[in-house]
Amino acid sequence: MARAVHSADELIPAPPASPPGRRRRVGPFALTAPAAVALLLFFAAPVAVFFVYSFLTGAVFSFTAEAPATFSNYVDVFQAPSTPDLLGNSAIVGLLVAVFCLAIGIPVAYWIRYHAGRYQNLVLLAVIAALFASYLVRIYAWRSMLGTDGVINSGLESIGAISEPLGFLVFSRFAVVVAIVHILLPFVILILYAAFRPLEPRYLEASEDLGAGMVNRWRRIILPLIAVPAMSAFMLCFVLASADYVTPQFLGGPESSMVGVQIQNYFKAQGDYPLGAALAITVLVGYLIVQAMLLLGLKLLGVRRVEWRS
Amino acid sequence: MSAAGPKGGLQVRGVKHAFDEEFVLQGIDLDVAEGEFVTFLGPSGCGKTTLLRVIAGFIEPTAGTVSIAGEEMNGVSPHRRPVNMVFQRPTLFPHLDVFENVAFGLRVDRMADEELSERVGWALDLVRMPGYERRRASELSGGQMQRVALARALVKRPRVLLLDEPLSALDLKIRVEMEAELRRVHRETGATWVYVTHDQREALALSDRIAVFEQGRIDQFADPTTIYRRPATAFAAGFVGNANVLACEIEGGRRKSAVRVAGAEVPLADPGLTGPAWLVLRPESITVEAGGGDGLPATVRDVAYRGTAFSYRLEVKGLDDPLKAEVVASPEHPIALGTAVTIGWPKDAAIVLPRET
Amino acid sequence: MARRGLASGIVTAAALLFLFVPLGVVVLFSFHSTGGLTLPFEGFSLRWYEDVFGDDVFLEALTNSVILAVATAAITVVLGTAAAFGISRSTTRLRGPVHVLFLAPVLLPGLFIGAALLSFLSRLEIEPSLATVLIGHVVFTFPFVFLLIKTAIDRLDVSLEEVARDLGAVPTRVFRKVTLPQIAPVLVGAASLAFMLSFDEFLITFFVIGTEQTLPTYIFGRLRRTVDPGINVASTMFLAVTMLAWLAAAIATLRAARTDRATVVLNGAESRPPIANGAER
Repeated sequence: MARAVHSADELIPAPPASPPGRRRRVGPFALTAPAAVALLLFFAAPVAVFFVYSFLTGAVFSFTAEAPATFSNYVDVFQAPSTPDLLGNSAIVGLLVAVFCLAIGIPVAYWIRYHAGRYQNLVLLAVIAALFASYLVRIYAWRSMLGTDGVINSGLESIGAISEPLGFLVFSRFAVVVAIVHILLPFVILILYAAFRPLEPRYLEASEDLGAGMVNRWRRIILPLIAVPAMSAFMLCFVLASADYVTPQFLGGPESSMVGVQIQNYFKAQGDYPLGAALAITVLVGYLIVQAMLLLGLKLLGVRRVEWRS
Repeated sequence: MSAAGPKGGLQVRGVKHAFDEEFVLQGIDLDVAEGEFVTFLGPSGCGKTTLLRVIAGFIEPTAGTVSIAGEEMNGVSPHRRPVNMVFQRPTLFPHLDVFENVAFGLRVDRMADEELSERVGWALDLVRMPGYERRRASELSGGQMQRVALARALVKRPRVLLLDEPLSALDLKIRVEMEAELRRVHRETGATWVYVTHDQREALALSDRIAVFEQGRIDQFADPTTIYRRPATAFAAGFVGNANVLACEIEGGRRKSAVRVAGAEVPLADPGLTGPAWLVLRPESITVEAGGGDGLPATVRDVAYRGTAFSYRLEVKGLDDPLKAEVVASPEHPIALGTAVTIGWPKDAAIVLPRET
Repeated sequence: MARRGLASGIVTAAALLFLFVPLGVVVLFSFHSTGGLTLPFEGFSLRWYEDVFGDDVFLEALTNSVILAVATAAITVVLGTAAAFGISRSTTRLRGPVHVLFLAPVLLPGLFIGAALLSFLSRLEIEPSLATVLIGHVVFTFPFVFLLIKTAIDRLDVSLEEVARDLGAVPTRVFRKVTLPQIAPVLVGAASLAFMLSFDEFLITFFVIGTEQTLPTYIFGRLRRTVDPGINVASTMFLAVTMLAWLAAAIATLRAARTDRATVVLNGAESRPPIANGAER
């Protein structure tokens, strides 16, 4: 199914092989018009306008700002004392979520691909079902389970494992990370499963035959071959986790403020659209930097996209 | 530790294996001498690939043992066995170039760079692919990929090399070329090779000895000539080389043994047994003459030109299947469709095997 | 060999538990006879269901969500199918950039799409409403639907259409009788996907909605005030609708997969090489 795309050449398709004798057809292209217009109008334009607005100042809760273009919003963003904590904490949460999703997702995808046997489709369907089990419901589920009077605490108390409810479970970075991992894990499992798909068991057998034990097989064959999709999954987790603004509101603590909440605040509560836009664009630039670093890292490790040939 | 095995070589004792209650291997015993080229031959599902994988270590047999150079291999994982395998489809690692593919096993063993380079060079020379070091698998043809796969397996100088139908994914012409290459490489390395195929032509051409597999058992394990001329079972007779296998009755108690085929009596050299039997006739030993005469009457139902010979399908009264005959091209042939002919064969050309009813 | 995969198998079992137990707990407590959300569980009752279904706001939110989801599914599938054919069957240089445009919304998290859309609409002085939410949903789900349909179209056997045209069929008839039946399962799957994505969508909706509610915003609002089993009920209803849509998609996909496999086998892509003639008798 869909996955986050992070480089232009993944997006641009190769032209179809035209059978000989068929003239170039431009007619069908007109079919793309309605969708293209809709997206240009309601996606490209807003994003462009959004970008422009980060350079304006003006009235509250509206976009009648006419003041000359200025960097003042960005200055405000960079100078605000809360900004480093905000960005830092969001990055940390993003990182933790990404690491846990991969740490769990890779073994699960591996098991499904190579050891599930006749249960493979069943488990995949279960994972897909979990994927669609609603974002808010999951936040609520953890909110109620991790609370001081929630299922986990009352369960532990009733078997005598603890005498007082564990406070750190909820309204903490721990809770935010757990909930977001819960939300993104099915997606990551599916992406990684798709990455494992072309890696047929015979490649692993061949490497084992040549003397590679478990460690060597992972280090020399499996990880290099899933590195690129795994990095995409990592980036996806990082972006979605750090930009989340609902989970931190219900499960986060006072010390773990996140940038998404602040952006939402600027827009819905304060009505300061330009400032919100500036903060949002700053975060987007941050993502681009992280993405660049990841790509650089892959390059340094000598990992590249692999061409499979059956 | 079995003390009775030859210096190198492979011993299989009583190996049985079941998949889901069904026995795929029913008690295999085999002794392969060091340096031999042995082929497991049989149709799909006969267990030959399963046995190969048992030797490689990918399958733990339900019963029995495998020993290599006298050492028992039960419970030893594939990566610790002195065995290497060439797979049916070229399984080159796509993220590594040819050099690194071949070097893979040596890198895992942490061989020093200099020695490693030398060995890789030697292996690539052996398969006649020097200069391809920096290429990737996607740039190679099927035949080239299998050569690299062969080099990759041989570079570790395994005691036993296993080949799982390595040529079946290749085009016919390449296959024939590769057969010669395989024979040459085997001669040059002198290792023990175990080859699996369903192509009897290939088996006859390549092997020192052939093990004919039928439904989890070995029917016969002998050199190609013996299997061809004196097959031990009707299955082996029918599978290796083209053959006509006819049900017949042998009546003993007469001075001259007589064999009844399709109601007619045909002469035969001493068959050595009586009762129900299979009569095996190779197409090339059957003579076809137009008109009446001594021998079985038949009608020509099909003629095909094969360049050096003519292939006939002959309808014989009393036989369900047409008889196949191959006659060297000569002025009398081809005989037209529908002609009544007489067929015969030299007395000692027929092979007689016991038949269970 | 059977002991292989033990470690990863344990992780998988744990992961599946992790994914499903919390949801199970939510559903369980929607039937709780008391108002608490703690163990021990004190008995089954439907009182919370009566409570929630008696709430007009909830019913309105549920209805709105369903309508929005159906509308989103319909619009994106129609636009997406046209767009997919347009991209697949043409060869102009514009293909590349337009293709990028179609997949681009995937690159931005909901927060940004929502914020950008809000700013834009505000500038045009368009009031937020369910219509603007619909726009947001269509933009958000379009890449997924487009990709799914395009993949199916690329795998179509064009020769079937050529045969139809050769036999005299007009293009619209070819589309209706030859092309459409082949991609129908994928269209159903894509529509279900769009339905589920839209039904569950909150991040963008929150930015561009007016005074109405969708089910997610209802849950959000209620969650803000208090944690009570009413939310469990709303959540269970949520899961129920989503699972139904998912079932529809799963059935459609499985049926499509069965026809695919038949074709592949016929093409011999998975068959073993034929047995050599030595096996003849």
